[in-house]
Amino acid sequence: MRKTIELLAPAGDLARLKTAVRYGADAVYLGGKRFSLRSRASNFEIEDIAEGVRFAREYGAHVHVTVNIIPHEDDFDGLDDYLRQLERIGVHAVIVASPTIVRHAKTVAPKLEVHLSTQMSSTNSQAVRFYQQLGADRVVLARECTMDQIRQICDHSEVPIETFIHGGMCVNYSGRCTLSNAMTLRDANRGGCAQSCRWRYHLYNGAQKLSDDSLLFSMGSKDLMAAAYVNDMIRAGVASLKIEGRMKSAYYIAVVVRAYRKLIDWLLEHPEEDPQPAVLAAQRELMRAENRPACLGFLAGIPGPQDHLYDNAPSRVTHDFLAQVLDYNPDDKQALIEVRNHFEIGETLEAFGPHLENTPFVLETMRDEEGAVVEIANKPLQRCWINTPAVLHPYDLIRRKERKL
Amino acid sequence: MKQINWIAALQQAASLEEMKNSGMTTIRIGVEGCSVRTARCFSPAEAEALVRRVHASGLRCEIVFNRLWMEEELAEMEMKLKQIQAWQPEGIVYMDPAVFMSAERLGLKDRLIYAPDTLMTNSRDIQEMLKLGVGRVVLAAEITLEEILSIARKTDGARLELQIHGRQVMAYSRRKLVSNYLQVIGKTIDDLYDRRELYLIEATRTGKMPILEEAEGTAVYMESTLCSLDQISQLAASGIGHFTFDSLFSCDAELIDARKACGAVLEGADPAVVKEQLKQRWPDLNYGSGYYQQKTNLTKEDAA
Repeated sequence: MRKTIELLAPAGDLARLKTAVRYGADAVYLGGKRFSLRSRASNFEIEDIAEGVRFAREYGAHVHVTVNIIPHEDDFDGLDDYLRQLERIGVHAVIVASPTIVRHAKTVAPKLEVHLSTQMSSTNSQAVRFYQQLGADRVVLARECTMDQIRQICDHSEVPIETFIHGGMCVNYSGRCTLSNAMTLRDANRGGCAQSCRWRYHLYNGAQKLSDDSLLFSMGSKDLMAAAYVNDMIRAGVASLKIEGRMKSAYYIAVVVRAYRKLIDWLLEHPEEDPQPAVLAAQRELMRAENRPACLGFLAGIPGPQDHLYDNAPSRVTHDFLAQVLDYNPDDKQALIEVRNHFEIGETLEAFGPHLENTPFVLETMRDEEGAVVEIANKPLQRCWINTPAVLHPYDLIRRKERKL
Repeated sequence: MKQINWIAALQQAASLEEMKNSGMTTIRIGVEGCSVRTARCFSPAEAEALVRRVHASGLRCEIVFNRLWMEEELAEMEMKLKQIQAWQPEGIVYMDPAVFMSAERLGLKDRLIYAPDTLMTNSRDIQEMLKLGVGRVVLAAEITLEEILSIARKTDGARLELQIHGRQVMAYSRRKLVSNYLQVIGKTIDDLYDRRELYLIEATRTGKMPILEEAEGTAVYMESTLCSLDQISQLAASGIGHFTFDSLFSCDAELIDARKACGAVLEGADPAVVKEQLKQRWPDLNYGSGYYQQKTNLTKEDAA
């Protein structure tokens, strides 16, 4: 059994990278401006990646960079220089979906680990071995594997295995979908996925309409939430647990990373104890992030009807993110916060942080930086001093259970 | 012009002679338990007999072995591959790298035809796979004619394959997308896995996209049937050695017509006239040109 396991979190920009690391990620993955899926959502210039690497190192964390497009003829320009730059600035690994890029990375930037992307749909240990022989140092399994299959693949593989534990799921084999290409001329495998799978469709059998107009056909999948399988994954020897979501907010990253961090740490520290209470606690906490409806993906078997989205199910929000802590004055036990959402005096709020348990409190005092009383915080990025229930630290967050309107 | 291998998926053994007469040189056979998304899956016994019959007729034969295999199926996969090896097909179409590993052990590597749907989009990746010793690589559907010709210039065209006719797959899922949905709306249909008449229409559009559910998963196809008569002269001159005709959503007779049409164009007939004749004979197939002239590199911002 592997004694440690990596918690790998997404980072859509430098701020979210720092959040992920502060809240307990062992490694973060991000995409640069080129060669990456989700490239349009990325803010990472090479200088930002370098800063991210420096920041992560302070916490003993790694940075992985996605170089995971399925490239066309003209997409290789500048690749070698880019790989060398990533190596030079101390990136730990590149996540790759092309045999050529695997080989190039090993040749031009040999200090980079090469992780084979889930885009390559590796569903068995022989596929893992094939990619190992090609040069991959780690393989990210296809999301289509069950827990039993993951366990067997780990048993039969020499290279470390990475699996997804949380976040959005492609309904199709990753990398084998061109719905977006056909329907929007945006290449799903070069960073342009329009998520056409989540659109609504009529279904016909010949001339006979089968679909129900009130609930049209869709290929959308519920998101993955695999806290219940983290213990099994640790015991199976999985090397890295991956959270999906480079487009997600800093609040989401903080909540999800922290929940899995606490769960993993507890499981590693209490290998003989019943994991169920810790799993339930993690699941309760994960519900406080902004989640779409969730399922177990393929971990328990091929998903059934209950694992699909057929309506326009909105994100399920149980808590509103209200503010981030900037500073704390121990003399008067006041915290300086930066406002992100509307709240007012008298409300019950909750503080939490990388090292702070969920701590509810009633907001009794709030003043602006000039000392004037603030009854309602409603200006984005407004700074206020508030009373606090405990010692807070910069980057702790304040939230509120969602109000029923 | 180099000799071209014209490959047809086969639905009816009775079509063999006519396939040959149309100019097809290879027959591709699906086998139960080994093949997905094929025109027809024959039982292993039928397939073995069919291979013999194909060979006896002077045609080459290739087996579709394109499933993605799960961990517990690996032993079964290798056993099936051995069984197929004994039939002595000229080619074995595969998608899963596990098949490559088994084929290497069995000394079959050079017969492999790597067909991973979307992954072979550039000459460098193709060369990597060819260097590993596979016999042939199938180009992805979503590349333009310009890209295809560029790839053909930079690689050994004799070891390239391109689908030039039939519906092109757009998406492939391990999930049972149709039966899951029907269950939600409380409907059933008989013989779901044999249905070739199911299609989707996006809620704001009109195009019909065939959808196929099988035991191994569900595939969605382009709303048009690829027809390459306008491009066949360039493609044939490019050095690409292998052209495939698929009939998953049509029939042997349509493939035979399409092959004859290609032959006519290569012998000098006007592609527009030949295409019109094909359209008139098969009016429901919605012939189109796939991605030949259509780049798919828009960004979200471009689209907006």
